[in-house]
Amino acid sequence: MSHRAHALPVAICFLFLTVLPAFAHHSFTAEFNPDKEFTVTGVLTKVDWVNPHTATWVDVKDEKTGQVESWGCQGNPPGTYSRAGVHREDWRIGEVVTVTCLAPKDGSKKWGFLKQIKYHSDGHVLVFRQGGE
Amino acid sequence: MNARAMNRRLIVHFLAAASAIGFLSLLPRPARAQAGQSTASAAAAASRPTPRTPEGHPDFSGFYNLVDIYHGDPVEEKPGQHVVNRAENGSVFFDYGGANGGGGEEGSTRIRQTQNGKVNMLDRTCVSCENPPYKPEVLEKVKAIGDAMYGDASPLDPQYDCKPYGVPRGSLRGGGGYAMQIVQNTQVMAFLYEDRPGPYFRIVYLDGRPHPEDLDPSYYGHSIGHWEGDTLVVDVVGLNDETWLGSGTVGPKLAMMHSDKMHVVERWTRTGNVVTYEATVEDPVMFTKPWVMTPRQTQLAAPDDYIRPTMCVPFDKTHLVKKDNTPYNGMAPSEEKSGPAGAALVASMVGSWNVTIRSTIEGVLTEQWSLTQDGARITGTVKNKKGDLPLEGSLSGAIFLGSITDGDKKYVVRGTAVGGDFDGTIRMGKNEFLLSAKRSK
Repeated sequence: MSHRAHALPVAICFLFLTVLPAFAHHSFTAEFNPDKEFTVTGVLTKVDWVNPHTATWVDVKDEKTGQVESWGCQGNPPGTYSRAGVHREDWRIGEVVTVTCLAPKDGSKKWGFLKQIKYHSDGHVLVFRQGGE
Repeated sequence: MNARAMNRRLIVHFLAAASAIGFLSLLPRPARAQAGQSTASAAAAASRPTPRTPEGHPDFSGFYNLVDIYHGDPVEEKPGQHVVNRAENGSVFFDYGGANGGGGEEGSTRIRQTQNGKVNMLDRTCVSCENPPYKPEVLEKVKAIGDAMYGDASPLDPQYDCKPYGVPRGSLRGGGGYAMQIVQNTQVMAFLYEDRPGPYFRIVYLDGRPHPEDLDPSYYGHSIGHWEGDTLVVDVVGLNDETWLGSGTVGPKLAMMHSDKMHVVERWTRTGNVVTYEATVEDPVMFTKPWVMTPRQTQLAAPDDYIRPTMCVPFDKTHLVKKDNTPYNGMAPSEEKSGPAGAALVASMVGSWNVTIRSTIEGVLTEQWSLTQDGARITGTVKNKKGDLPLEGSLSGAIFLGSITDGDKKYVVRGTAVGGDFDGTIRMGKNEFLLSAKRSK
């Protein structure tokens, strides 16, 4: 079973609190607009577990043209996630999702900074708050 | 990881936090502490006994991570506390605990930082940081690039190509994540870095050998070390010029370049579980005198932490924007001309240029550019073996971005123009080559 939460024998709700290194992502505000976001729905195809930022990829079908396009949203670094307790298997590849991302400042289409993934199958969400929300 | 293991980790972290708070009340602040620095667990870590080798030297072996040591050096950020909350229904809530997460005001010395979901303002001013003592002609160039940067983000910063940080920027840090393993014996000290461009290592030779004479430059150079008391003194040469010393935001923002004639002397000390790094940098090509870097520290990571051997992929580079929020790439010349940064500081590229392209496919190519300039907008003709081709582009400060049209092909040129020198790259199809030019008149 791919979803980590399913593997837990009992339903638990806890706060995982630790002191961890942050990635110095100075580029955040040089790339993304904290006040502007977009939402797309499609199939979660891939997560790139790479430095300095992970990237989540969704195949989105254009309703008018029928064409499928890949949308990507970068997230925090893999080490930041895994040391805090968010793991690659939290990305359930192949599922239908609605993804919300912050828009890039350079006007690029189909690219953003990951805020939320919502799984249509069970309504679970992965929420990524960068601060101040 | 099962629930029991997670709960155990949780308890361990709570105990660590509790003991750190206990130590904070007992221990004096370390002499090297900067304003705004959290020294709680750093002080605790420094109070541990320093491990020693059978020969009596400090033993640096161990897995280190930055944890909560912050130096006020803007190259770094104060790490925060990430919080992960798993709800009963399987949903996951991640709260980033670092600086800059919610945005920082351009030009401000304070940036937003989130800890435990609470937003604090972090002072980024580094009271003891000094910019490298650049020669006037170099300062002009590094300041021009710095002036166009948003914060300290410039696509010219080699970190956005996922290149190794090199010495001294990456000595303690390795990659973006700060994690490193040190392995020490009597012959060598090995630094195993977590990332950038991927898992990466560096060797310091302790066996008394000299530097080799036929040394090719590299990102971490050639390092020989000797003991002066409890301090490991490391001499580093053979460093290439493809790294920066930082992406400076101290005082006037500078693109902190250096030459391949750089010579670095490092001083490594271990006190308890804390490693302190000091470096003096000589660069006879670019500096007027040696530059003393602000000391940095790191400490042993949690016992169950380990190297995450992850590759680096440069997603960010093409999406960076300048401080006036215009993209570095693909901006319309008209926007550039009327933009706030357009008129303020623009170099001149007017004249004839002898251009050299170092193609890895066709060898060294030469061509001539004849350029005219209207404000920030550059137009002209490229004369090469294919005939006369039009060139157009724009300048922002000293940074040029433009393209040469060759039939249905476009070659993107980017680089920096200072005085009679232009250094940059040209993208031809899938390949990008180094390009340099000298103004002939």
